[in-house]
Amino acid sequence: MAQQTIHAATAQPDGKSRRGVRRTVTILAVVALAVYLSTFLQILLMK
Amino acid sequence: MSYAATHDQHDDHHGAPKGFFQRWCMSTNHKDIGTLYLIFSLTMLFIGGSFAMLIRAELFKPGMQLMQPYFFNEMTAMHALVMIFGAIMPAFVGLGNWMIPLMVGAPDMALPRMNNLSFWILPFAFVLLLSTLFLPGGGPAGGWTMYPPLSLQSGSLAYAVFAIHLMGISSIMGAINIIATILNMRAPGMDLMKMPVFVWSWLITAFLLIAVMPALAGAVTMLLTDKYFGTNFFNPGGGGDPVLYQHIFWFFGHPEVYIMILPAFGIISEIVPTFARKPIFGYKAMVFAIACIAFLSFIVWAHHMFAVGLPLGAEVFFMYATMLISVPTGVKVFNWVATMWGGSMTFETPMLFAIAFIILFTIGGFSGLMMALVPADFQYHDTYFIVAHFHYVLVTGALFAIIGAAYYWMPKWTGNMYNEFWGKVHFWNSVIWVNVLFFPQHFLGLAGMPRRIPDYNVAFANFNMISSIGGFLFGATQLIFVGVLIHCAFFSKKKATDRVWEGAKGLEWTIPSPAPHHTFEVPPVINDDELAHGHVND
Repeated sequence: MAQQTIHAATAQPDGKSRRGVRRTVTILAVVALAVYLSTFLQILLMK
Repeated sequence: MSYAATHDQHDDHHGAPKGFFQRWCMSTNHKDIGTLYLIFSLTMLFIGGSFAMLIRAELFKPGMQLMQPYFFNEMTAMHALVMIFGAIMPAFVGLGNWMIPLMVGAPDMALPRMNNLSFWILPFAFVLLLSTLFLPGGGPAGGWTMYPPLSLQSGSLAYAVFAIHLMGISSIMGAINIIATILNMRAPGMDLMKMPVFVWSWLITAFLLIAVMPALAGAVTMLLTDKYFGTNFFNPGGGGDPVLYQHIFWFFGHPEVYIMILPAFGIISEIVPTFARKPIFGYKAMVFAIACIAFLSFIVWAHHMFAVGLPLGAEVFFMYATMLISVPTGVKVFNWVATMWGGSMTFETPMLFAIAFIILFTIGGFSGLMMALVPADFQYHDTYFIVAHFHYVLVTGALFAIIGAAYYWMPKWTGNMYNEFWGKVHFWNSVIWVNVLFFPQHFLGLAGMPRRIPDYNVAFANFNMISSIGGFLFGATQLIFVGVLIHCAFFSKKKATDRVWEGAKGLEWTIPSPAPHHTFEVPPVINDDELAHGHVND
């Protein structure tokens, strides 16, 4: 990880890390939503 | 490390906000939010504990003593919900909030405003949940698992479901924040395999949370639609199946058990090397063991359902998969013992709680191994043996680790040393009375006493009385803990040094005590000799 300036009040890193945080959050939020929706797939098992 | 010498001069010019509302309600500071989580968790510990006292009071003697059966059922369900979602999980999130940025050299969490929201959702969730006790019809009384069709009879189901959704949203946001922080905000040179074990344990726990909390949300949403919107997910009359709920619930529920114990493993892996004055034995093995336990936690859920009537092949698979967990868990226990072996050990209060954890959690693990055996589980199922097992894991396991962590890091948080004498009084009373409380419950379970009943056969009277006495005294002992915490925070004259403990290593000990409001605005320089586990490749 390159040396970076970070604003302590918001902890927002500049440049590469800011994009990294955004990408991490997006992927994890999509995974959480997918798990939530997939629980309803049990409807396929209903007789 | 040169950082510590210059740090306080750099940070003194901007401290905490002056106003109470601004500081505590609007905070984006990981330390303040961590403190809020820990205070909330302690409050919930006493609320959930008071429910436990009522349960033990009713069970003190055979016959109905103090309450109606429905209220007893409310107490067992609410005790579990409050302790799991209100006390244990927020305590670990609080510890993670406080310590993860300090341990990886980050100035704060990656998403500080979301951090604030994650916390402030929780009080509303629990007010909602606890308010059901005062509503006509009462609170949830079908156990924390909320199996249908029993849970569908509760008039307060919607309140409980909404509260669980809020808790889940809070947990998922917290988990995303922790992962984003660890993956993106580490100081230069803090490679993944140089991170403290506590940080590793939280990284893996956060992935578990994201993978399973939405499954719980889905399950309780279907309960809600079954009760109020005419769906039949769990109604055989409409083509549904109540056992499907159990599968989804335990797909969440078993990893949830590890969500409550993996950060505890991380804490013990911080405390033991400090007081043994040795690097942790087998750092990489410890990290891989945590990852292995997390993976296995996804393929063992049906061991909670052996008695429901699973196909034989499924029962055998889940039995062996469950027994496999003892391998990485054994690696961890042996590594903690190996860390202590030949070390210059001292026995301050955090170390006492850590040693008690290792011994008593292992007892809980062994009884878990017993009930992994399908034929044996048919006898243990729904008895007090199960109650004894999971309380050894969650009280002498998770709770003891949290208390140990509080004693360990309290001097760093407050800048003051706690009173060691009263810390030890707290420890010895806790460790004695917790065993008086829970050990007899093994015998009650083996003798056939069912769980979740307000009355029982007179044959179970003696052990129940002993257990209740242990419960009252264990509960009272925790008041000593509160006294020690308050004394340490506000009245202690003994100031903590920056490093606090002679054998402590890691970035968190390079900053002043108490930790300044802002830390690591300039990323620290990592010196491998200062890391808790020494040189990884040694």
